[in-house]
Amino acid sequence: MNSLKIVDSTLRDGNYTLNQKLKKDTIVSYINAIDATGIDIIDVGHTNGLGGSSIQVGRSALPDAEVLEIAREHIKNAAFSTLILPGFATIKRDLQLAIEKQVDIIIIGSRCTMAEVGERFIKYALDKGKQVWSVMFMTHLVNDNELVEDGLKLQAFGVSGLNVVDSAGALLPNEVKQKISLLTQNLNIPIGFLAHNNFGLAIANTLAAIESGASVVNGTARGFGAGAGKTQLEVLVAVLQKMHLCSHVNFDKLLAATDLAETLFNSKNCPKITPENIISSQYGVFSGFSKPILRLAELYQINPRQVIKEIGNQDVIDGQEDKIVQIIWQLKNNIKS
Amino acid sequence: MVKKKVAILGTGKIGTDLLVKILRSPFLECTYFIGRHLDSDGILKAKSLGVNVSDESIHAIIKNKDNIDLIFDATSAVDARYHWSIIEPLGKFVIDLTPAKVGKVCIPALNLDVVNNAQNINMITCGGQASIPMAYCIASTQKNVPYIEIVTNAANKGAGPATIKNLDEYIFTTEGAIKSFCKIPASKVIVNLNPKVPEVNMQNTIYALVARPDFVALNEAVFRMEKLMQSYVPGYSILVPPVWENGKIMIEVQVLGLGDYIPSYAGNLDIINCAAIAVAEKFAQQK
Repeated sequence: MNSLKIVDSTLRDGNYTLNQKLKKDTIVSYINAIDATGIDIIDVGHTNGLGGSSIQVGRSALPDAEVLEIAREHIKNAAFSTLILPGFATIKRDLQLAIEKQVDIIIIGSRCTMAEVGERFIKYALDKGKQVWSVMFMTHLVNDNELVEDGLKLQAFGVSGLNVVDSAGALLPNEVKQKISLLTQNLNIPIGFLAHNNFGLAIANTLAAIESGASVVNGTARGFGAGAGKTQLEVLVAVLQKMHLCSHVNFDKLLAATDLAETLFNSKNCPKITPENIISSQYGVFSGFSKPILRLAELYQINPRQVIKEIGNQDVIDGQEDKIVQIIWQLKNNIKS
Repeated sequence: MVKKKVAILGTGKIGTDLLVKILRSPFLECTYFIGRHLDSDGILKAKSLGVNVSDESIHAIIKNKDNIDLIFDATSAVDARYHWSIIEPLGKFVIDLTPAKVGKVCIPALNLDVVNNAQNINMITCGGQASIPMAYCIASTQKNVPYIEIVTNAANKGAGPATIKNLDEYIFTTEGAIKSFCKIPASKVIVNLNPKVPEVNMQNTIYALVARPDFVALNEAVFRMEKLMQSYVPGYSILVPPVWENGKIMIEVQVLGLGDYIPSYAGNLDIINCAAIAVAEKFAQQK
């Protein structure tokens, strides 16, 4: 059975590991290695999508246009995808760029319960003949009915599929099952799932998603990515092959690609599950906050665990990295929010 | 003194909130509140306040031009451009709250005098009104600032359908205004709409790349600006005063709305109206 599609987002999620300093050589050599494995989709760009380069979430080493050009030139077998987050990205500057640079699949993000924000972006890309997927972040914050309601709206806008992200690594397998089952039962487009490994559940949650009908799953080499990392791609493929679900990926070549990634991204950056990562998931905090929280907690001489808990209590969402300083400031000065 | 006669075009959240603010003004009175449907929420509110209403859109202005001194346009960019083509020959003063960009831009704290030499004043965007004054404090006290970035966090429900539908226009308009007011080469605007319930208050973060900051001058400028802002936006306050990390300055401000017609969390809608009233009162006192 070859209907299960595997996405490698090492060159987007792993960009977080490199503080968005992905270089040309890294992109070229990793794409050459991973594109030879038979993997279905390769996702490339700033971790927060095109237009993400900013003080807020990290300034890119390379302009988006150059990253897209390099990726387009070297991806020959897989489909090439990139992320667009309305608010960081605009239609004229960023979505149009993805179209011009001939990205195959444009993934347009929306926060849960905010499908409308992406509507113009989705329709614009569809008008230009692109394949568009939606991706919903922070799905642990909303109830299942809201999730389905939003999924139906996105489907009506005309997207080809919907990715669900456990942005805080906060979901348990039974919760993933419930969310994905509801979506696969109520929608007639493919559903994808992206995990974080803070609870050590990335593989288990991905399997739960597949059992519930998800047909696109995601991983990164060594699990490179925010927080305790994403689903480790080489483990995921090995497990799926044991289940006879992923015969189209050449496992030896995949190991060669993921070994190369460890060299390119530096083995000391390989993800591990720290106490801060665990607390972050307990409190439902966006995994992307892991690095700035540690950096700023050190600068302001405050316990990072206290900061993580307060951020969780205030339901801060992805993209709001500026709230970290504010919350530290409030904690240091005993100001009630 | 004799109050200036004001017409409001547009009976949505912005227009209706403006009306409530005008009723408090010692310099302004609302003679016409104009929309397209007599059963809209805004029109019903205006009627309950005893204000003249009309559903004749721009025709109400033409018919009653002798009883109108200035017009607030709170419709849409497309409509505002059309309205201007009719209003300009009438010689009436227009305060444009849409991103139509036909007039001169104004942030009352920075260039209120522009009112003396223009017939059409554009209010830029809500995030621009809230954050550019602080960005200006950075640019005017620090040397060679190459880049300023603004992040606006607002509740999804407080953003207004026009902003949500037209993020591009919002972002580019604000980026352009940062560059022109601060005289810097590059800017970026990020919008974070938060679906959280209860709704989050409007906040703006201002970042700038500054290698060697002069904090004495910056702090003085920033706190003076906070007071100046509070003179026409009572809910404006600094949440995090200037901090520096590794070549970056950061300031955070919050805008709590007055809660006139729109809830107080929607400080973004409140601040653009407060700024528009400041422009109108300046006009009223000078001419």
